[in-house]
Amino acid sequence: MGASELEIEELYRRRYVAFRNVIATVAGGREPARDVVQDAFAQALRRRETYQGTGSLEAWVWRIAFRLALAAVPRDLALIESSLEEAFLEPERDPDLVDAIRSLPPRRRLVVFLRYFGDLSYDEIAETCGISEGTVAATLAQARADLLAAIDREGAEK
Amino acid sequence: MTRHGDSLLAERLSALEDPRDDSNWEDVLRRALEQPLERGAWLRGRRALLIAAVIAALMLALGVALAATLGGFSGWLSGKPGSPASSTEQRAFQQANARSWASFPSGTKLRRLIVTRADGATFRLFGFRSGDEICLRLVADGISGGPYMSCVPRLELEQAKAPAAVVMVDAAFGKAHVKRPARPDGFFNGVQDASASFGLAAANVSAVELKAGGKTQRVFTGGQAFLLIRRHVPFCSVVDRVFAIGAARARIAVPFRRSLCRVPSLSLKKPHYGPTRIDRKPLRRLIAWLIQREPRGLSLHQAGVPRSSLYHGPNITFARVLQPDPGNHARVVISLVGRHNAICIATISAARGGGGGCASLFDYPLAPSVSGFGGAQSALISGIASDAISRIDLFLNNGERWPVPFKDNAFVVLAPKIDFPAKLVGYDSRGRVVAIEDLPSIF
Repeated sequence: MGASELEIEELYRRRYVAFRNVIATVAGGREPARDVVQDAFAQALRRRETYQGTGSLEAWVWRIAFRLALAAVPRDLALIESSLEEAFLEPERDPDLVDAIRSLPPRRRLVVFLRYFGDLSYDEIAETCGISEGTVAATLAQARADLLAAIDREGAEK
Repeated sequence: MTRHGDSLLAERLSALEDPRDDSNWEDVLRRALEQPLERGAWLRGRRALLIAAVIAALMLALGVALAATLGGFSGWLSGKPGSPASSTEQRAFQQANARSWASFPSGTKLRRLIVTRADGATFRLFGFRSGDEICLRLVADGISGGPYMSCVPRLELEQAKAPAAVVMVDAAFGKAHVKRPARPDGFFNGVQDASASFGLAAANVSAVELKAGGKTQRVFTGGQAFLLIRRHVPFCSVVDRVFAIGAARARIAVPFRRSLCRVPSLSLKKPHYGPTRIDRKPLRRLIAWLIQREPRGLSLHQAGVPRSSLYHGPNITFARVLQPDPGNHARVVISLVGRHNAICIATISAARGGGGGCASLFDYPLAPSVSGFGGAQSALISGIASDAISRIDLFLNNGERWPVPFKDNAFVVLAPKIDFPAKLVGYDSRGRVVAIEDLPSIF
């Protein structure tokens, strides 16, 4: 099957910012994320013949990007909380939300970013993370509830 | 959770998003070409390199092709490289094929190999296998020129010593912007809008490097093929070196014939291989079935070839269209012309246009013609032979000897230009050499 160079280039031009923003939450910042995304697309180009075509090309590249991001950060996702601010444009503008995100379990947090930063559909998130659509829906619902509850709680405390 | 809550969350999260676009596709390309292989792959590569070195030494000693160590061209010889062409692309090919006087079999399936863009134009490289030919077809949108089609013989890939095969170099697209006045030598300087060079790659070749005008460019392989598009190309800035980059980073020179930018000079080099002396002068110097006007092959009408398209059309008294080799799509039109029934031939090829002339079999029992000027890397050798000849062999300049398909006194064979000068040798029914024709390297 394979993917063409043009298809990968089009995906890159259309979705680069989303890739960088989501990967930044894993890689611990915008600059390392940029590096990971560049390498991920480079690797996708080199290996495009191995793309089976059974799922979406984008999900395939997301998986490459996550694998590289995790390899670049040799720690458990839960341990990169301190650098989460680096992933955002101006975290000081919404410290309550940033704190709330930090309090999410890593997997739930990832699904949130794929949904809101990556603008991925449920089935795309499912394919990227290797989980069922039902799990995506349940995880997102729980994450939303947690985030909104945390925001409300912190707002009330203030 | 309410819809309001979800919207609120989406809004607040989007405020944290960094909208700046610092993408750089050229950087991705550079990384892809320079990226070290992953550890496992690197180890495999190292091991492969070591094994390849040992095998190569053994194989060179045995005279076996190095290409086999790099995966060879099995994908092209028996597999399905690339992906199926879309129905629209397949239909466009079928329509063009149906219009051709030398068409490929109607069921020929096109494979899409590479799609790339350059300055607003899109180039699509397709490939297919038909009989003993492996053909590439390059189609462009957004720029004039093409489609270009060129084929290489199956034998060339089976015996290849390099893991890539150049099929065409410097195919011109768009306009040629000529700078006047002419140079002192009578030629013009100028710039061509675009040029394309393409070819086939073995399975383990990741990229191909092409050098032209002092600049080296790397292109990825796709669908076991490669395609380099150059824009705004100065005249005579032709591709002069090609290297295949193997999985273990091996850089292997790929032989090919440079395209010409000046009037070719006739090479006086004689072929190195093959017999040099005639064993016996043939007695039968005619083609009996032609003189007796036997309806072999197809008539011009049956083959859809208009008489007016042939050089001697108005004076043709009898003509038949032959396909000497079912593995080669080329047709040979053999005709009797004028009151004296001169024997003339015309060769029709979808990849090479036409060619031909008239022959005196009395003086020359083997009458070949060669077509294949330009950047195409294969030449089509076609012609007729008198009844005295039972078998024809082609001796190439690399020492190989290829049997030439031969039927109804007509023959066609596709051969790599890089292996010219070559020699055609005709044998009688007892295996004696009765005709030798040198084929000079004039392109």
